[in-house]
Amino acid sequence: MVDAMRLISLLHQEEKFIDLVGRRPAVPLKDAIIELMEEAPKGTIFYYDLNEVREVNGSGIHEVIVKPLEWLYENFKSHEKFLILKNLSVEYDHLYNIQITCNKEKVSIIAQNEESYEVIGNKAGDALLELLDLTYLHKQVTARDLAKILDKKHTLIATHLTKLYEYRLISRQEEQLQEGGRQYIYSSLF
Amino acid sequence: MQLTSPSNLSSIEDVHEWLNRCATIYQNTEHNERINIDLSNLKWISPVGNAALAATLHKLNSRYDIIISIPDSDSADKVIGYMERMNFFEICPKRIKTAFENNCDMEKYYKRHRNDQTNTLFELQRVEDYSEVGPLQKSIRDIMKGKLSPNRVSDIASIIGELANNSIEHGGTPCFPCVQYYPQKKKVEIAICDFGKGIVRTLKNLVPHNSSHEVVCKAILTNASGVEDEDRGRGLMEVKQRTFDWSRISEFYVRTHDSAYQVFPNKVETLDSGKYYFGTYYYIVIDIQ
Repeated sequence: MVDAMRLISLLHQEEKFIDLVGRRPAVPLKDAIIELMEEAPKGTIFYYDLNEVREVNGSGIHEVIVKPLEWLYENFKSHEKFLILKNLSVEYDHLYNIQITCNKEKVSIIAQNEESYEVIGNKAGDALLELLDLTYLHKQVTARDLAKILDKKHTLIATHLTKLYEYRLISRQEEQLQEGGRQYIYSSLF
Repeated sequence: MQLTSPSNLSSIEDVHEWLNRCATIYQNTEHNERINIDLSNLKWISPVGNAALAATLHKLNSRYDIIISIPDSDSADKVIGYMERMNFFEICPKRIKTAFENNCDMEKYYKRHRNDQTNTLFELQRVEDYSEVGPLQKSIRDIMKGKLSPNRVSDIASIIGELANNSIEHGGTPCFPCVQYYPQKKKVEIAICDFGKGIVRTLKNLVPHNSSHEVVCKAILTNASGVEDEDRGRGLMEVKQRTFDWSRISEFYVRTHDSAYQVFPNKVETLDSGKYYFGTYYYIVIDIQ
């Protein structure tokens, strides 16, 4: 089971906001974030509250968002953890700026809005996004459920769900079936 | 020794010519020697001209005993007026400002009303610390807000932010950015200059190369970085992407080491080679049709 969401604050002591606008100042922050991720219990869903962030640019986003995501991808087997974004700012055009860097670096991250969510970045293609939407709609699904809904092969759906899981966009738990065998239950992150 | 400015300081070619002249002085003049910087024939200066002049005057002032001949042509009033409007005299070395004040009535420029917002202007700034880059981007966003689409404003703010970071980190000197939006021409001119060691000297020991031009190409077209063993070096690639993503007819120029270059979406072309002088000088014209 995943734990409750855990905020990773991007602020230093006493700061009211931060600008993620350069490589050099962002490196120690990224190192601290990855250390925190390493130490947290398995299953933790981290989030950044972008109310803390004003200006951003590619170097800052690459260091503070992309690199921790890449660490999560590389370590998904040993560290089953996740990262999402909340409260993107319209004033500072966060969505557009983060999208540019995530697309270029081929990573994806989920931004939670008040009532919905947005996938930023192009790591997951359209076929995967269709399954992602259904997972977030139903909150919990199995490959069998989605194969039935979409009238597609169970093996194909299972492969796609595994990818979404490896991309850290959904979580999963293994379940023992009464009739024998096992299956994964895939869950949205919120 | 005398260092005479070109009559125009408005294009990358003009900046290149000015830097070649600065290089000649550098090669032939001893430290602390007196040089006369003759701007008397300066008839026109653009945003990149202002930024380049500010950067080079700081470098020259750190090395020589400089005196100035101020613009004195028929266009002097316009040139000095525009330099003042661009905040040049708040940014240049103090002795330059004093020379202008001693040789013409600067009060009339200082006291002018600045009500004309036709051409939106982000005046010349001096940026020398990482902590100034966020506020710099925010100032650009605030000035351009409502005049361009939010995404375009983000592109401009981000271009300046990335280039300012590069100057601070790799150039090791302050940098001097400015932006002017021309609504009639539907263009935004971005200039940012420093007087650091330049792209070639920053990267030449870190990227395989056969010529200094190749180093500049790799700096702009690949993730070559001035910092070894780190996954980085994307700043200039992003600047290029944001310049051309919305319009292929945007223009992107850089003068560094001894040459001036034009950057295209997929290549970098040498415009002219000359003499080594300090600094990296970016001039970007974004088309917003």
